[in-house]
Amino acid sequence: MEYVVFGLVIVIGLYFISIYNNLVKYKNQLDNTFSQIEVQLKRRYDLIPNLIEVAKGYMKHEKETLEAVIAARNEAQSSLNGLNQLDTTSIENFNQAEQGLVSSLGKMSFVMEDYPDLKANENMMQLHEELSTTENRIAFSRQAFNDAVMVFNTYRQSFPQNMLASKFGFMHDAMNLEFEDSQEIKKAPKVSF
Amino acid sequence: MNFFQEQQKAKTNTLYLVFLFSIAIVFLIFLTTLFILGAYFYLGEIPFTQIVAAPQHYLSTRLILNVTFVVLLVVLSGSIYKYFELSGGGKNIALSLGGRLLSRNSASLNEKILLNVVDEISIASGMPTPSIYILEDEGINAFAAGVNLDDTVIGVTRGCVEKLTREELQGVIAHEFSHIFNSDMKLNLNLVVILHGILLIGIIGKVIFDSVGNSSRYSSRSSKKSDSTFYLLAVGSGLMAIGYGGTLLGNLIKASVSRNREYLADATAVQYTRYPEGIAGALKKIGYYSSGIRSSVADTYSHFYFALGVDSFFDTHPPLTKRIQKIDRFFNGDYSSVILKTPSSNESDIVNEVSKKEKQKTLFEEVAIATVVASVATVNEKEVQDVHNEIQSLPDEVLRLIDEPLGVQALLLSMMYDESYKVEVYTYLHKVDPYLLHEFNVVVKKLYKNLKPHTTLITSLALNTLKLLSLEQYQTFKESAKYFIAIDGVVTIYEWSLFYNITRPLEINLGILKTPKSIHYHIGSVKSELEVIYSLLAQKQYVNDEEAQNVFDSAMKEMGTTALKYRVSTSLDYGSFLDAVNAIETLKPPLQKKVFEGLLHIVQSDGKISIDEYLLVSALSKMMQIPLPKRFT
Repeated sequence: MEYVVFGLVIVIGLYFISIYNNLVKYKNQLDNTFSQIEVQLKRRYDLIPNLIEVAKGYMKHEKETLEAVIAARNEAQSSLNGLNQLDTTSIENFNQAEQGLVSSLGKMSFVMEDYPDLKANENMMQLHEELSTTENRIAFSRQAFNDAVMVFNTYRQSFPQNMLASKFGFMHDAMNLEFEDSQEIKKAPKVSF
Repeated sequence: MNFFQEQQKAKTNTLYLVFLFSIAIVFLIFLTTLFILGAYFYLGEIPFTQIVAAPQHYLSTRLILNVTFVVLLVVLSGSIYKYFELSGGGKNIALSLGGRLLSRNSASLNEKILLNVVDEISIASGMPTPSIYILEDEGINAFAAGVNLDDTVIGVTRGCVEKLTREELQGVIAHEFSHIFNSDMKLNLNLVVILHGILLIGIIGKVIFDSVGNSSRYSSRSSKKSDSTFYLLAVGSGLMAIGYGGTLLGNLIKASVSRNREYLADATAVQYTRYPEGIAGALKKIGYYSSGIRSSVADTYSHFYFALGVDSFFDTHPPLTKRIQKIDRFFNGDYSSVILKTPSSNESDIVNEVSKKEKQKTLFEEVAIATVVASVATVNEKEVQDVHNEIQSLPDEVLRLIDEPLGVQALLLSMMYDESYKVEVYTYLHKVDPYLLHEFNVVVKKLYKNLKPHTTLITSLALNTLKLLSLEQYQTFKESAKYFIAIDGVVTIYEWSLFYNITRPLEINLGILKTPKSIHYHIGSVKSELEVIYSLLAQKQYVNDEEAQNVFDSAMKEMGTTALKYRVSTSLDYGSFLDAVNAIETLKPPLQKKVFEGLLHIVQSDGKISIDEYLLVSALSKMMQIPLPKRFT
């Protein structure tokens, strides 16, 4: 009888250890995927000022729109910098800032329709192409991040992890990144046959 | 000693481990019995002298049996647990040490150098590129871990990346690769499994001691409990004491197994890079800075490291000065001066002379099959340089695509793309993954030409980036690749090999594919499967069945396996090929070598090796866990 109890104690102990290790593993994977988004986001934050610089020459009467884009970009960049812990509030802030940037960029490309010269500018076309590629990559790595969030949360919420996770220091579920994709990448690319 | 012999020898080493392990268990049983006798003595207040005078009164068979049973139970369950944890692959070890997966597009300049060094050596040696994890430690250290070649990871500390020059990094990485090729990884893993069982007793003791100690603080007023608390504390500390005995033994075992392997790996590293200053410089810098690793589990893995990660009574690594002196005879043990010193002209002249000779030798070497087989799992500096040059020769844009998870998928798909099915392909991608479609469109517009000769290089480089995909994203990519391949109703050898060279390592990394256990000892048991593969390869050389049969027969004669009979091309189909390929994976090491030689014989029979053939041989040798040497091209 004692043997059975003794054996059970060991098995349960090992089981707890494995739960803890898995939590650590999934959390680390989550952090890993975030670094991918970061790269692309930074790349986009670097591209936007160049874009504005080119647009300035043509869109003299749209100063406000352009300034709004720059402001939104700065806001998003600073909230990304405050994002080292991936906790709920800072992710929420970041989601909002990103959303603001995406919508101001959308507005800008809407206004740009009125400036055919600008749209035909080679520099502009190149920057635009690069920006939409970057946004596409952001969207893709965001998908990977959200997949990792789901894996972590599902594991954390399942029995018996839900009773242990907070004792092991994993207090909260991870938070999804929920900004929308820009209009550009929702459109299918043009194909000529 | 070559790769195949080392693999055989690894078995003997494991047996030696099991032997040490049994001794450790006996010792633990002895310690525990002693502890219980001590408890008798204390509780029954029997004078110590009486026990010593007549131990047989107290030492009943039943007691010993009980102790044996309990100790075995604990140790074995600890080991079995660790075994299952580690069978998940090297990735888990790196993650539990707090490692961060390095990816090229988010890497700093120094990290990129590290990634390049690893890529170059692994591609030159023909093994799948390992994932690189970085540990945020200032000490200079590194480790390689994994169950087999497919899931290897290399962990490198921050200090290593920041403080070492490229040559020194190359030395460290070459050292880690020689651990991989000398089958030390498996040995190290077995060591962890065994040690975990032995250490578990001590861990349990510590848990009991801590938890009872904590709870007794809250309930100290209820005197009823104090008796049982006392006993629990006594049991806890007793287990801890036994555990420390176990730890001591564990370290002894580690030291005895690990130290010699380190000298061997240093020597092999010099042989790979032909640049002794590299590894010697790294070791000297360790002497100047340090090699410490802070992680709480670092102790468990201390024998994995490049240099001492944790100080303990029995060192897992030979003394630093001795290691350096084996490489650099003139080293006097003064670490402070070596940092700023550049190699004196005399010494470097000698080295240049040596490497010049070596270069000439490799230039005139014939690519005989025996040479290829002997060079499995070796690298030389010329091959590394070749890989370096080949990577440099790729267009920058292609390299940038390879570094990016979405870009690399698009690039690989574009290599399987047949333009006559444009509409179907675009419609399909639009349905499954608009992001991928967007990127694919960008890549296709650029029309990269002449990438086919670099297929192996690109796939090897691509793997690192593809490891960043989530499981769902990987599945989408795999389905798309399948769609691209099957769209014309034919699966070519090129397509299959390309697909296989990508999917297999990734699926092992994601944990959805396990390397099957090898079961076949005799060539007879896989006769028909080998016939299919060899015949297919022969037909790749000569379309004419008759000529193909000639090649087939002469290769079989060469290998001494004339029992294998040629299959005509009409009797072979995709299904039988797949079955045959699966069987190849389950060969035991000595048989693998033979089958591998057979492949080389047939493929080289027409005097040239096409890319399709190279890819296929590389996929097949990946299945057999044989790194395909660069020399074979």
